[in-house]
Amino acid sequence: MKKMIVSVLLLASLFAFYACSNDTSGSSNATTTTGITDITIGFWPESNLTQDVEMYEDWERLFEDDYPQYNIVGQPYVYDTATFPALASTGQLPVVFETWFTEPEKLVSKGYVRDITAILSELEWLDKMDDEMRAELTFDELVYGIPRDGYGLGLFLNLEIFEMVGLMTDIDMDGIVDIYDEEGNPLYPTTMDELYETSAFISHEMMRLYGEEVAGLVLLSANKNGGWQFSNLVWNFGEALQVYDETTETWRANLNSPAAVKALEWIYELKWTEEALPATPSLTYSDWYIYIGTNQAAMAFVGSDAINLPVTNYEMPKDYIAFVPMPQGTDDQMQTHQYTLFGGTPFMFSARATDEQVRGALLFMEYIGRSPETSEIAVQSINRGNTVAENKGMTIVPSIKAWKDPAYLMMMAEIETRYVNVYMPNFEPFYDGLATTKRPEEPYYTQEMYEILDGVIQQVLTNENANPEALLNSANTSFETNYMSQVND
Amino acid sequence: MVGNLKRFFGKNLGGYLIMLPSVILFAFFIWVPLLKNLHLSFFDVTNYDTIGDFVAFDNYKTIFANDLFIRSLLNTLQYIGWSLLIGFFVPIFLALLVNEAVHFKGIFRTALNIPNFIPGIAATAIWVYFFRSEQNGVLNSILANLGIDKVNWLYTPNWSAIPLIVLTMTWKGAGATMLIYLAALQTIDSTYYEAARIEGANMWWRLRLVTFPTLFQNMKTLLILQVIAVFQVFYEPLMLTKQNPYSYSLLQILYKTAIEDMKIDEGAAMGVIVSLMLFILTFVYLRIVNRKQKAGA
Amino acid sequence: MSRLRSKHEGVLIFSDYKKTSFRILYVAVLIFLAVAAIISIFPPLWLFLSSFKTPEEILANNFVLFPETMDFKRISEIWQQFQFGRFYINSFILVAGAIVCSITFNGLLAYGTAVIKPKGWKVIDVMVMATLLIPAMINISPLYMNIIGIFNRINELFDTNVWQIPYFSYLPLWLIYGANAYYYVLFKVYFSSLPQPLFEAAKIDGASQIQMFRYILFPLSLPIIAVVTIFTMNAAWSDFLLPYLMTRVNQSEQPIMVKLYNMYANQMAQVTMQERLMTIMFSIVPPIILFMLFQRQIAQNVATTGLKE
Repeated sequence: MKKMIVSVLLLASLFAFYACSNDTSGSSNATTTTGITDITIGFWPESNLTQDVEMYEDWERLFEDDYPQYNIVGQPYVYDTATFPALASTGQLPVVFETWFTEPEKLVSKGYVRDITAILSELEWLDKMDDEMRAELTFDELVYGIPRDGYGLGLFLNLEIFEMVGLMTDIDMDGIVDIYDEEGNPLYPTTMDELYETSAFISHEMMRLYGEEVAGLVLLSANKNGGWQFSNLVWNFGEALQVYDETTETWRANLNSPAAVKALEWIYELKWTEEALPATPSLTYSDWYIYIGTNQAAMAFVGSDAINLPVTNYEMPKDYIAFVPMPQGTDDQMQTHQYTLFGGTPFMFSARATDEQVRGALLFMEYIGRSPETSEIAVQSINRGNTVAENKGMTIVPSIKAWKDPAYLMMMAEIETRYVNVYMPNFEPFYDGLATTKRPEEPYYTQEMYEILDGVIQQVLTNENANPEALLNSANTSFETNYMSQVND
Repeated sequence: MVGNLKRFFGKNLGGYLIMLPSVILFAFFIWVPLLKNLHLSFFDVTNYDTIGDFVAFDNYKTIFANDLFIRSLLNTLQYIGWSLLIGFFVPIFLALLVNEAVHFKGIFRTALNIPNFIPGIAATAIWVYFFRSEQNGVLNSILANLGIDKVNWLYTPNWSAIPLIVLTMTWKGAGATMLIYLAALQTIDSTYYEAARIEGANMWWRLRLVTFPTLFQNMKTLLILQVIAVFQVFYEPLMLTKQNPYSYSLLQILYKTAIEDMKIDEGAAMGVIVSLMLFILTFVYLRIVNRKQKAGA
Repeated sequence: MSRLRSKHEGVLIFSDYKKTSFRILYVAVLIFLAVAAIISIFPPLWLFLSSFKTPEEILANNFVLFPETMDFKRISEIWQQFQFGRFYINSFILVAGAIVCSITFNGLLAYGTAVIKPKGWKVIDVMVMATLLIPAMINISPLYMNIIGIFNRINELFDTNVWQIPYFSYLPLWLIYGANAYYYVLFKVYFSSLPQPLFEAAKIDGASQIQMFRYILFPLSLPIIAVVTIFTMNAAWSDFLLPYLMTRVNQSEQPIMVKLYNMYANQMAQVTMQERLMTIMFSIVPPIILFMLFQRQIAQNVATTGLKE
């Protein structure tokens, strides 16, 4: 009996506890009695990056002088899936934060971020945004963020290794290895077949000449990066991974098309026949620049916004970098295809941010050079950002513009001619081809699709007996039944 | 009735008051969140503020239709198997040897115990460098010095990384477990060995008749503790093999589902399943062990 | 080998060692143990030496243990650049509070179930023991929600902002160590092994339960308190998920493991390999020193409690 009483009391108090500890709405004391709105900025630099912090503090001062109704609060927040939901559900998110290109769809569907359409149109920024990037941030005709800048997937070349195996030399004797021969023909791989040959050649030659184990190409396969890169390969072999069927008027998964099988077999052969891929089959985006930066790999598929990483983290000399387009592929009908997977790194806004906070955060963008504005303030902040990057020894390459407004593009072109500090001929192939080859990610359940493809790629890279076609068939079935079938409902 | 209650509290109130603060802490930090998990697992949850309809067992159906979840369940069996094979016997063996050593005993004991004091994520971060499949991985470069070809370590074809992951866990935990066995060994009165010796028992018989019966009690407890611990393996595969399906663990998929993919409801269901399995496993194990004990007595 | 001649304890004793075969066996045992000891200390030793190496040295195809140069200035540079001093202080504050909570609350609960035993103690005991089986990660999100819920309530009630109070966010990080079934078991097993008549006598003398705890139990419990202290230190030092969540607003209050975790969570972090290795090194040095200082107690206390961390 007494045991019963105790148990009942205990359970009752537990439930009482449970019931009253459920309130997490809190009060958003954004606006204090003085009428000043606090705006927490999540992309504030970490404290050990002293030059950047100093720069942001200057920007904050300028902004608060012009807009005394706002108070900028720097709160470095590196977007991280482990902690995001907890922070978001408890109102602990900064007003604005930077996230990965992979995330918007999920954040919007979970209700963690808010739409900013009205405020964007009020500022007249809506129509200045790059169309593809805007489409990526638009859900049900509402815009949920602004792009920081864009990226395009390209082929990163480590020229030191190309020079070591004798594929390229410094022809014009300016101290920088050239990626063209005397007639101006490219020496870098421009087709998937050439990429295969070059990767294999480099791996074999580095071993033969120097006894060094060097991967011809770094191919990623984890954290959704595998599927991300793989979709570009499949496009270049001539097919999409999701297709709209005109006759049935439905979308369906197309992960096992002949082009996809060809792409996976291409990977399989590179791994097992040529041994030209890294020995580790489970690589993420934090791995490729270790290989490149320490001369363990010659090439990698990389977003154009990440070119810096081997330089800042592994002191790779920037003159040894070249960046060229994703190689062209050929389909069964001998048609050639070439695409550049293209997207933007977004700034997004906490679902709990007020209109006033969003407005303040957007206005602040002008003061840090991330807006379409072309004011003197904007020019100065962009210059300042470039100067700091220069002082830190970073590479400065032309950015892929988040805004398409002609005045903005003109301003940026003018600034970039002054600050770009790489040998442009080794980057021009990428930038020249971008406009005609760019293509946004597949539309539906993109992240889930990447994850399934990651699994397929890892199995091919781990198991020599893997059957690419069978793996893709089962991946296609799984993606179709679990995800794509829901698109047509 | 009132008198009864008065007497009841008069005798117990002091005890309750002493235990109350701790009970509140357990409620707040463990029991209440657990209840919340159970609750969420039966609902359609968008985020913590938006809890939708009651969906009965739909979340459970979804996770059991998930290939990766099934795969990680099977992997967990492998983890348990390997940890019993490697992790369970190594500390016993080490304890027996250290107990016999009369030279450098203190040094051995200290050295073997150091890994236990290295924080888990730091230790695994070190192993990442050791197990690189490239020629310049630490282990491969040591092999190169010995003139041996490089090994793929975590990614040997047709062979999962689980034994190696268990090995790193054993590296970290064996020293501490050894201390427990060592303590038990030191309680053995030397007269038992003396008696066995007089009866003409050789080394093996002495071990069988005197040593192992003493260790048995500890072995029983440590076995189940080890299974519980290996059920919860997380950082090791996360950092060493990332999302490689061949060594994906239960907590990895739980973490991915509930936290990375923000599917709170499915994650809660996985949490309930994992807890339930541990409860059943422990219950059955204790039942078997205790019955044997009774039969033996 | 003279020590072998006076060996009276263990499976093999001096009389066995008169035989050559057993002497060879003994040498084999020593060699085996030496190898095991080297395997144990090699990874941290490698880490220490490699944190002085350049990436090229670390990623060399042939193994060289020692770096070409040991530039100790580099340590202090990185130490200052990352402000490790502050993270160390934070970690120490975290550990100190955790120890206090861990001993007080688990000790009191065990005192309740092992000595006082009020009606219904078994229910609590079973419920606490069951938590041994719950992976902490399952709880992390709902728990964090509850903590923030309470913080918000305090803010409303007292019209304040608790996030601005220094180290206020450490409260849950400390208190969570007061709800640890493992430490509770250690206390309970120990208390149960104490002679019960001692408490009976005190009760007859009219001592209150708190007095008994303070004057009888506490002095007798120093060995188990030492064990729980060491375990808590180790656990609180290594913890990072909840500390990460709780210190996100005031990042100057982050403990060192959070810093390490951050480095691995951020794919685009601008951190060199050397900085990475040094951070790992800084995070493991204090626990190892701690262990070296207390190893005798650890070994002894394991003997008295029969359980490990």
